[in-house]
Amino acid sequence: MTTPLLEAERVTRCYREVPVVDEVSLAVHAGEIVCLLGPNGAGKTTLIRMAATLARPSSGVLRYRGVEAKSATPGARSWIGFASHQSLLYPELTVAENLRFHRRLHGARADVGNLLRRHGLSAVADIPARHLSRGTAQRATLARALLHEPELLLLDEPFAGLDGAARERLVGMVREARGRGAAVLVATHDVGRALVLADRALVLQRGRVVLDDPAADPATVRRTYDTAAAGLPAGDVP
Amino acid sequence: MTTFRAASAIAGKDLLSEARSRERFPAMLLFAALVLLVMHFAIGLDAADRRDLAPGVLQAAFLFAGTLGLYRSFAPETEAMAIHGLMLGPVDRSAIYFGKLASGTLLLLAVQIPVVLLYELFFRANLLGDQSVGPLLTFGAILLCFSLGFMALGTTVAAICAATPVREVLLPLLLFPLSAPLVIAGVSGMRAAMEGEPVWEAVRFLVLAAIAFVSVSWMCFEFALEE
Repeated sequence: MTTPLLEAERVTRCYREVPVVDEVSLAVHAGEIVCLLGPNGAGKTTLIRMAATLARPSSGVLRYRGVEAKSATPGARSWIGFASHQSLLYPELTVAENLRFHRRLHGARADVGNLLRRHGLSAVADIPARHLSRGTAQRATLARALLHEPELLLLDEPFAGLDGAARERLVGMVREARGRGAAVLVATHDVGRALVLADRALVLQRGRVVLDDPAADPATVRRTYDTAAAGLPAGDVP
Repeated sequence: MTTFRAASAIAGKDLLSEARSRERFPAMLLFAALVLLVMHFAIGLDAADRRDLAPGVLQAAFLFAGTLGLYRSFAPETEAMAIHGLMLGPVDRSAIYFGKLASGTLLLLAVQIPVVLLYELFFRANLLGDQSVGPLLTFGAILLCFSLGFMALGTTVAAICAATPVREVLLPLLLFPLSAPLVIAGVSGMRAAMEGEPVWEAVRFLVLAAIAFVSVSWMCFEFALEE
């Protein structure tokens, strides 16, 4: 078995003594799409933020390619790509300026013109991010997250606010990333979309993993998600 | 990418963003000018009084203008959570601190120059008398050290406050008492420069305070970002 690109071992994160993520263990391998499902407040965003090095676990260990997060150099972040329902773009800068800034920050060699064309952003290249529609901003967000061709792609509620066509485009981009060998971790409560994408599915409830299904079986995942969303103990059917 | 290059990229991005939005500089300049206007009526018409009170009035104007600038310094980062994009950069996170510090200091210096000229022009305080260019450079060095120290402290305090819902109240409450030594040394240094007296002691204090504030703030900054 190869070393996972991302591995969490009994990771816990507490806010004011209350565990938001409670002893979660998971592994994401190269070329794999893992979906984190759960109702609001299940701890998906907190877990993704810890995986993206944006927050520290209160306890437990996170490893990147087998190296503990606290021992990893800042350079290790060069192979992490992160996108969420928030654009992470500077509102006053144009789309092209935002991409150029992040290219410089990552020391990437991507051609911004090509990147804009690939993500269908050429027409809005010189428009400040503030004036972008939700769908276009999300495309720009993904272009920013992918410009350094990350090996680990972390997506937090990426489908929020997108129309059908934009969702399909996003699914295509995620599959393309997997195709080039990237590991993808997607946190969402859009069960239908997640089941289309997932190679493996985890369901979280109140910070704990209540299902880790390597086959992402739709019936099992949906039933467990519905149970978690109803706030019932794992195993009960609402 | 080195920390220095990342910091300069972040500072450049901040200044470009400010050039587009004009959110901070005009407000800082206007506020400092208003402080001078209010002080003009408080001080009266006596030229000697105006000259004596100049260091205090100018430092008060810079303190208020600097604080106003710091209110909005993290606004572009938090509006669409762009700060996460910076934190994901494969560089030491101190680059974010030094980038913000550089852009904030440049902005405050850009406000100080016209404010000093305004004071000189409208109050005819003859700030540097008939002396040579030496005191002018000393005066500039004091402004630079004050700005650097103030922004070194203010950048971390602003990062802490940016995540709280009461940032407008919290920022001056934390910043004003902590920056009191800088303001006092700034006033005495400016007074000495105007009188043509030795300023070495005030400059030395300002430099040491700036180094101390940069060091402590640098150490606390990453924690402030993550929390």
